[in-house]
Amino acid sequence: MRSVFAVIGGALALTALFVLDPCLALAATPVPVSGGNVTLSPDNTKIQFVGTHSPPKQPDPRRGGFAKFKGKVAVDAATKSLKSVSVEIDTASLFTEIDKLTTHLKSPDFFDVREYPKATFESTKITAGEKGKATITGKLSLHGVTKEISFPATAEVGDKGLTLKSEFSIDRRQFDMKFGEGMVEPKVSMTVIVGEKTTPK
Amino acid sequence: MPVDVQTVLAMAVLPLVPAVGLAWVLGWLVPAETSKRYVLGSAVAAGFFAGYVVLPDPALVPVKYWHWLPYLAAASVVASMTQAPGISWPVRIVASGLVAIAAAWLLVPDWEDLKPPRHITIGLLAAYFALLTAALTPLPNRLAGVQFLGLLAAAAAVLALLIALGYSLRFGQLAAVAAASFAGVWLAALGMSNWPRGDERHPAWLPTAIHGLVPVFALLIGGLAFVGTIDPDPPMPVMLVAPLAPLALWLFAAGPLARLQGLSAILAQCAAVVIPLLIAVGVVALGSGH
Repeated sequence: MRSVFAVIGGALALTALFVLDPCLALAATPVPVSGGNVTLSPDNTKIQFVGTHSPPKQPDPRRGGFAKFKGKVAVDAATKSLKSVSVEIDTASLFTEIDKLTTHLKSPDFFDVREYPKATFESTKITAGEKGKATITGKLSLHGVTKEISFPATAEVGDKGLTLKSEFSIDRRQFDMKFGEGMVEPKVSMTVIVGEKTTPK
Repeated sequence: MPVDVQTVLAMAVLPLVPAVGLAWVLGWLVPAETSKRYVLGSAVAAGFFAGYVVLPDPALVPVKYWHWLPYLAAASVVASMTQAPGISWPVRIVASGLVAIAAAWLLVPDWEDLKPPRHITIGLLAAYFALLTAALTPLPNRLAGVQFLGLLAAAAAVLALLIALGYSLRFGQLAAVAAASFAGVWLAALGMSNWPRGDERHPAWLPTAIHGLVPVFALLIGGLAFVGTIDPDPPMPVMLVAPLAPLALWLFAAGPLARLQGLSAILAQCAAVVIPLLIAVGVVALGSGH
């Protein structure tokens, strides 16, 4: 049987987070704020995931992302902080560097994009920290399961707009993606960057 | 669920044991000649159901379109009545067509982006079911019947491989459960056919039972092939080839190859069915690792 790998879902989760660490801030292009809102799209935002194989196999990380999604980040212009984050991802737009892997991830073994074509994240609470850091809490709906997740993000609201980066991981098993246990690690690393364009493959 | 030896055994043993057991028990208990038509089909449906319920996330009340498969397997046993002797061809064709349309109506999903549109896909799938049933039905009479069962099981097993290698391990397991069920009735039939003709247990009814199994193969294995075809985006029509492979046996039902006898006939028939299937597996397996 072919090896399965993983990558998963959290992508969705990402929707939310972001950070802007100094490195990213340099690379990211601020997304303009209009009426207190930033509109997210693949043209200005990147949602990526990395899955790895389980021991004794080599981790052999597999990277992927989503090519179609839309979202909104509400910002407080006065405090230059985040107010809310929402994202809706078209799961069928999932891509990786390997066509066979992309097909497999879309199958009922993982995302089951036929049955669950959308994944969403809606923030319920955003706790501001120092130096643009924040903790975003919200409801991630993925693979027919809705769970509350929290993740760190670093955001910068400037005159030119918003940049944000978040790196976190989700446990795919929490979203009933249990197939391939023992072959593919349950933890999936997620990265969300507002200010970078999605480039499939 | 990891694909380890334990899992593979579970996928094979759980469907196979009830299939073998039910085929033997019903073969003894069911009295009437006509009723024997349902023996092997019932055993396959029972074996498939036993395996289905141990798969991850089994749904006894269909939620997803492929959750109808175990019910189609059971319903196709009833559909075997359309194969009963004494029924005229027009009635048989109409009855088989209605069964095929009903099965397709249940199995074709209602996705908004389904191409071709649902009503057309239902027609195409019903035609596929009807073609399989009509083209396979005459073969058991022209070939060694028990061997025919083995080739049906082989086609089902290769379909499982195709789906697992080309798309989804979960759907591949589902097809493996069906293949194990067909292997079960094949083994049961092999055992029963070895009883001496003078023995009261000799299954003179076996050809009738094999006939009755054809609609079950058409709807269950054909249905699994449809699921393996339509679920991926883009679709993978190569999956539809596996259930059609036994039609290669027509080469031995008429024409020069029909003159083959004995072991050479058996080997040639097996090769005609299995070799194209293995080629399909090879094509799908290329680059399947990731």
